[in-house]
Amino acid sequence: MFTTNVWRRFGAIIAFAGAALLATTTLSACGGSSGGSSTASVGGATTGESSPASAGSSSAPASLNLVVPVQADALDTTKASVGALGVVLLGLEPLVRYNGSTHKFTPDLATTFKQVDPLTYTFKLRSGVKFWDGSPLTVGDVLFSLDLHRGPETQSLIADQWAGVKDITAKGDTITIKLTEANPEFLYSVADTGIVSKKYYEAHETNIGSPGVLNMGTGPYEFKSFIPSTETVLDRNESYWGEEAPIAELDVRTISDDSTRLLALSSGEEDGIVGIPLSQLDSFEQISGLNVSGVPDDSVYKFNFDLSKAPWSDIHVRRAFSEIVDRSVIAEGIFKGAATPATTIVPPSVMEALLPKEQVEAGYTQIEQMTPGYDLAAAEKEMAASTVPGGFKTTLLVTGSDPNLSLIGQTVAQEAKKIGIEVQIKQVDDNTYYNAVYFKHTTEGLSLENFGATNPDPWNVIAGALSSANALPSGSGVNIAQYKNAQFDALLAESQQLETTDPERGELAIEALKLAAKSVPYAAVVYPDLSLGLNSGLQWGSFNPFWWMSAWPYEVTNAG
Amino acid sequence: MSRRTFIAFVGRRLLASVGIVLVVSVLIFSLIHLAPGGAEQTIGGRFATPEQLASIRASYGLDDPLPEQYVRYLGQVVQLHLGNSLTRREPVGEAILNGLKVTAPIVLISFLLTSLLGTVLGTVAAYRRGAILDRVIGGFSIAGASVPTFATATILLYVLGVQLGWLPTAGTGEGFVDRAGHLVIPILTLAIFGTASLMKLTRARVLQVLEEDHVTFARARGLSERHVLIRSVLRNAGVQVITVVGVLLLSLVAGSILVEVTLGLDGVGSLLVDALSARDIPTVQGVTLLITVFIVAVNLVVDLLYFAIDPRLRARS
Repeated sequence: MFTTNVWRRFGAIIAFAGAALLATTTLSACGGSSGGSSTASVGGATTGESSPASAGSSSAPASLNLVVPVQADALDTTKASVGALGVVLLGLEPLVRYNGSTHKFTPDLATTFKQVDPLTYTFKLRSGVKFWDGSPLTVGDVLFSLDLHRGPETQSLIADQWAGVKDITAKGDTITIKLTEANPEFLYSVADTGIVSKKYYEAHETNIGSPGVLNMGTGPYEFKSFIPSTETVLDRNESYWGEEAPIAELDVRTISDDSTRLLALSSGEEDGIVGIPLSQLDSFEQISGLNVSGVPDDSVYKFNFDLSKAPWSDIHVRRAFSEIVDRSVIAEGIFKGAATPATTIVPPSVMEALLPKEQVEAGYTQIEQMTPGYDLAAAEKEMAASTVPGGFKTTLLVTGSDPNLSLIGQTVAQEAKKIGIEVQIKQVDDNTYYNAVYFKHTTEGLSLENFGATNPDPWNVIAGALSSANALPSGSGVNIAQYKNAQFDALLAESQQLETTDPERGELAIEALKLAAKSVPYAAVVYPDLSLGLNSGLQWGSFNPFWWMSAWPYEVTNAG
Repeated sequence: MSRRTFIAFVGRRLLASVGIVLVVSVLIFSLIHLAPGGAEQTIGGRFATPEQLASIRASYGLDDPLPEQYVRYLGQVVQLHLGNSLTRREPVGEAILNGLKVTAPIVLISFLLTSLLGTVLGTVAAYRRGAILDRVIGGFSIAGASVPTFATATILLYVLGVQLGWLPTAGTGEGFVDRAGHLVIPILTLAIFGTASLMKLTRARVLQVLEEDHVTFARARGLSERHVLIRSVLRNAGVQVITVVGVLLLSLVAGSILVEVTLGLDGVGSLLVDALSARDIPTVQGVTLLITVFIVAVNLVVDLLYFAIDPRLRARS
């Protein structure tokens, strides 16, 4: 851990020096202007209803080199989740696609899909679709692909999304999926799951998705080469069943080192970057010819309180801690305005997928009134009424992969001293963090993280973080707070009986968040932006936090 | 030294080397199992249920007693099979071979450059002691050896990649020419570090030898300066320099790990770092085994070179 800190400090110095050098030269190149920052074109093009994607009228670049935050260890649907699906789903298409800008599902390998009842979904398979090797797509391929994520033997990263499936059957070209219990989020799982060639997969079962084997799909892009978790090169599938992909070649790269990533964009070698680290936003905005913009991400920086551990089991302590978090200062000071002070664990922009904006605002105002905000005097009173009026020492666990976490921790630790809480920050690697916070719950009861949704449904984070089913010992442990409330579980159960886009689910979600606000299982800090940097000659039609679920290359066109 | 003595010496060293490799492999095996978190958490993801985690652990035999797992691992190694990566779905041997396509040229070319430049410049500095050239070389050696390799890599990337646009800034490239272009910066980075260190030592040692009686005597006998340099100075300085060259090769391997991670190159170093953070036990064991064997082999070769270069050691044996 000491080594990690030392290297991180060295890295930060070098990054700072690099940024300073860069800023100096860029400013001189601009003749002393205030830098090259401007707003990229975000928003505009929409996705059609009958095709996985429809290109805008503008021309597309011949090739695109894009830097993304994360890629899979193997080009396989069982080895990719959330952001890593941004590459995998271009080759291995799902039955339906989700469009984050319209909040709608569109047909892909299924020509039609229907929720017959709360427990049953049907999908009619598109005919005439061929894999890259010329073999036809069959119902057998689909059943095989979906079964990869099911059963006790599966090692799929998205097994949790398929755990509630009772059975999958096919009659003719119609696939029927039956669930054990209603789950309005299920269609997102279908949209996250790529379809592979059964024959090819079985022929390479032990090393499918590895650099020498790749994978076999039907998508608009074919995998050309792959370096695990680092680089994927994709070529346009010239015999694609749908609209021809506009960009002939994609080179998607993940660069873990901050300085190298910054320099790769500065050199012009890369055309764009998704998910600029917010700690580096200033440096990226200085790059000439790179337009930087941001959209609210579906994630939240939050303190986790383990309610099963003293002194965090005391509501007064949790309220006091929430009252020492100066969210506005953190949003402005640490995130330089690229984040919004948070009220609860779900950003309001996400709730707008289910409810009109006015209704969301009204609901969030009520939640805010119930949530203990920054107020030192109130925090002192809470501490005086707590089981530890004299204060206490505690360790705050954070992961070192996000430098913002330590900065937030240090800011709050200074405030905590004022009410008698001595916070020691312990920075560990991701694996150690997840082991202690999610799988084993071995922290002293306090941790801090950036928690992101795995799908756009507002209930995704709410159910994950607050339902009894996700608490240990039987659940996945994502309910870090070990918050167990029968009333909350009843609201969740009621919501599960409704259709995915039913506004009533939004109303129930706000009720659930209000209920949780009374117990303060988490202290939400800020909602960060998701930043996009794009060569000024390019535009991204409708960039949104769930870009990775869509056929995104169809959205990238030449500007003007 | 007779052939028999030499074979006995090599045999003893080989036997000791096998012991060292075994001890190191036990240590690494124990340490990775002691680290918090496990491969099953990486494979199953953070939403995996306790049942799924248990199933994954069982399928990889991670619940078996550690000695049993170690013996199983040794059995595989004896058959030259390093197992399959738990996260990348490819044989560890294949992943290492792919990584070596990047790491081997970086380390070997930077080593050759280092050996050549470090020896030549160090000797030149010693012969020009106190002159401007000596001071310039001295300044370079201090700077090159002091600046961390990742800082040197970043500066080179900024100057050669961004400012001058001569070289690519990210990735390893495809095909010989493209890859060669991508490897220039990592090679230069390690060569600067290595040359600076070797140059400093060579200069000091050559200065020592130049002041020894046998050099003065050789010059007094009227032997040419070239003869004195090659037969008296370099040969005498060589024993110590070779010791350092061996250590230097190993430090270049260590340095390459940092450089690969900094520049995003998919070499053996990056493979090891990724495997460590993912608790990919077979890959960590495979890569560390390779590094251990390499270190032991380098030390063995250095010992043998002593014999070749220094007649006193041969006589003593």
